[in-house]
Amino acid sequence: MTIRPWTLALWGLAVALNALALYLVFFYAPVELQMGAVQKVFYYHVPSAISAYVLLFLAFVFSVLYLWKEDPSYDVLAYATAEVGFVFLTVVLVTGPIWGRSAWGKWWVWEPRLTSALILWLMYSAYFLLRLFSRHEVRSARIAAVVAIIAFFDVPIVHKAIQWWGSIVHPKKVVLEPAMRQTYFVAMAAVFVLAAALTLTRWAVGRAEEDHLASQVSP
Amino acid sequence: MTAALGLLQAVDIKTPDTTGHLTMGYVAIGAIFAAYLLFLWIRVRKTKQR
Repeated sequence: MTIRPWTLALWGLAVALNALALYLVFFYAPVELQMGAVQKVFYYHVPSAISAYVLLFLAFVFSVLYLWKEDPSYDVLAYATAEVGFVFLTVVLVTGPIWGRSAWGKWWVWEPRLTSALILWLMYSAYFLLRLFSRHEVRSARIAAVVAIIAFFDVPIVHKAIQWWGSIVHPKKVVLEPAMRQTYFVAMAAVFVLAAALTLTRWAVGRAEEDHLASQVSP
Repeated sequence: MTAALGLLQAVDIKTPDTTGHLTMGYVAIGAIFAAYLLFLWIRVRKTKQR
């Protein structure tokens, strides 16, 4: 497997930015008055959600391109972006209830955003089950692309759920004081660079697997 | 879902305050990324061994 130098550079930047972001989260950002220290989960919870949205959108685009062009390299890209997007979605679904337990007194509430996010996670779980149990077959790649396209339509629903149906736990608008805003922007940059580094690494793994399979098939 | 909530409830007994939940949150984030990197590393090793 070949990891390109700029992917390694991106990993270096991801480590440095995340170290800075964690320092700001724990030692610089003030404690929110109503929710207390647990509000600091916000600094990774929200950027993880944005990263998941972007990566799942890319998985949607590459799945459409794969069905259209029938080029396996798009399938590798779709699989890589969907997988890393799923990891970030898992971070959102794990940190949300931990934050909620402190802030609202409950681990889980069946409200529109949480429910639609859980449905999204379950749909991508189905995508990975499909890929894991029928790997490297053109037909399974096509079915997986269709699943990724259908599953993506839940992303705008998750995002707009609060505006459309309201929420008893998520605010419509978040106002941050300057130190909180600075911490948030650094954490967002840290999470985005980490997402990019993970995606490029996962793409390299996918390419290596494809190359290995191609070398087994060809004489 | 019930099992996951049960597990969280069990962990919650040891971390009843808001700082405990904050720690739990960041430990969980670290664990998820560490688990994913381990998963990728195993995949690379398997590809090389084949």
